[in-house]
Amino acid sequence: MILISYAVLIINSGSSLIPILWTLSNSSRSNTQIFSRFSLIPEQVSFSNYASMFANSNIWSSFLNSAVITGLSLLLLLVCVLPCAFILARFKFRFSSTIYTFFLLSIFVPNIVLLQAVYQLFSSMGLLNGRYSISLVYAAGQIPFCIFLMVAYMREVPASVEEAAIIDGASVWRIFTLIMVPMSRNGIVTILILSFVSIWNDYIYALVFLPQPDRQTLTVALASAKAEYAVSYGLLSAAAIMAIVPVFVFYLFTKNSLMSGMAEGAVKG
Amino acid sequence: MGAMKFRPRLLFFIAPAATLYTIFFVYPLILTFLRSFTTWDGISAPVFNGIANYIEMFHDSVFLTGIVRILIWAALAVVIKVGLGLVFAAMLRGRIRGYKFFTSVFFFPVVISSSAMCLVFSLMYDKDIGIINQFLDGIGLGFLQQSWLSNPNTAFFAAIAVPIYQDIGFFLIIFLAALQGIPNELYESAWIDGANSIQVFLRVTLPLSLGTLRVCVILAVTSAFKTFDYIFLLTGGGPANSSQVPATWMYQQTFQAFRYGYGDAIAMLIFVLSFAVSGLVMGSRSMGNLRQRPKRMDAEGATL
Repeated sequence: MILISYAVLIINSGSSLIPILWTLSNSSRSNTQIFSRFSLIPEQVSFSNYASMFANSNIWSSFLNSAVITGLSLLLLLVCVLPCAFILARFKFRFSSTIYTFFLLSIFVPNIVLLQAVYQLFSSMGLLNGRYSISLVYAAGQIPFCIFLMVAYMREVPASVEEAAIIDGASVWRIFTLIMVPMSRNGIVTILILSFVSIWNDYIYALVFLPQPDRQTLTVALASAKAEYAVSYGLLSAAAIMAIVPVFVFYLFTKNSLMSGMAEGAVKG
Repeated sequence: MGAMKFRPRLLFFIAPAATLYTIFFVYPLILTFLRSFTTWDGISAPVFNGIANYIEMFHDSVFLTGIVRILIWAALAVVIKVGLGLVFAAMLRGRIRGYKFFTSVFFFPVVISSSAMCLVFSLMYDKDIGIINQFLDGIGLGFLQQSWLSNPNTAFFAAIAVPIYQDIGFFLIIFLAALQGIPNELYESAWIDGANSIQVFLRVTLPLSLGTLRVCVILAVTSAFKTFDYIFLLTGGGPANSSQVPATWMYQQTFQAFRYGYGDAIAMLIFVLSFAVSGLVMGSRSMGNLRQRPKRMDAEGATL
């Protein structure tokens, strides 16, 4: 039985890895070589496809756009979520559970549903011209789920810590910044990682809100590269690898929090 | 909790989140709902038309076949994503040798963006250089070679294979967390009682992960209902609408045909469908039938 398990697991590892390895190999090969035969190991290590991709496309500037937009969104998200979760987790007042439910209800709303209404709203508010205004949408979209997770984390902080701080005369703001935020850092890391993945990877909002070539995000630039360099297979492979490498590096460092965060988020949600 | 006294000025802590969320989430949702009862080109004023958009949907053959497609997609997603996720998790539960490697490798595709994944797969599906055609040729099935994404018979399945493939690792991780929460004694007593691997899976693993299974079914089904990127990027709904789903049809009606009202109605329907499935699965007793096993489990956890 264990042998069958291993066989299945190894075959599936292959199917997970081969598409990426094949693309990596092709990114280093010429079109003639790609046409002539299939190979997971390139004939030579060459960066000419990468060089011509950087020279001929806006991949690099779109990479920077993605980075700035994602960074801004995450910052905005923390500013919104942390104080709100703190109040909902540590205080009982008349409408506390109503407010909590108000945030939670929308976890079930698929973001595609809101696409065109948000687009109209943006154009009527004049936000479509803003280079980074899309961050508002990304942050808003992540708020419900992140509040949900943060409230759960902040409730776990023992009440005794808080009571001790009150006796020492700490203000609510000091309790928030000096106790609650540091003590729920695991939760903060989790929501940052999960939100990073979903914002960085978003395609549809970036496509609709940022059509101008100089404002495109990486995901949109990749998709338009496909139309532009239709048969330059080496170049397209290089573009795909260029998008996968940063995610891979990110993955190496955050793998464990990412896995536990996703499992936790799914089950609690 | 509750050691601190609440004062109204603390509502300032909630204000940023509530403002952003109301403007860019709640308000658009209400707008979508209201505009789904109008005819609107996005420029002139919307004209109220009752439920005409909803009636049109039920006469729109592209939309209706789109519904059939997402139902097929949902079924395949549940069987393949959730099924394989659970099976792999059951295999990896005991932290066998190579545990770290396998989980890391299986999970990696989950974090890759849809657009990068679609780029990789459009190369894999390519008629001339694609790995899939070359593989078929290699095992002597060369007659099956074709351009997968431009043949109306295969385009839809070729496109949905990508998200299904990509998400297996996600479900694996969820199940793994659930299965590792099952006490080892249950497994040990099952082994001592002479159960084989299949019996252990059916009588210990499966019944004890029902709650998680339910959540996973919801996630798999709703993802089929709402996923837009893969179809849009790989086939654009074509050729000749042969892979159109409600999400892509909504995009086309809105941003290409400028029929905002109709697009909003489709959006509302996607929302209602997802919501209904979540409610249905969470509230269903029919899945509880699978649960008869644990009832017949004795105090030590061995199945009787």
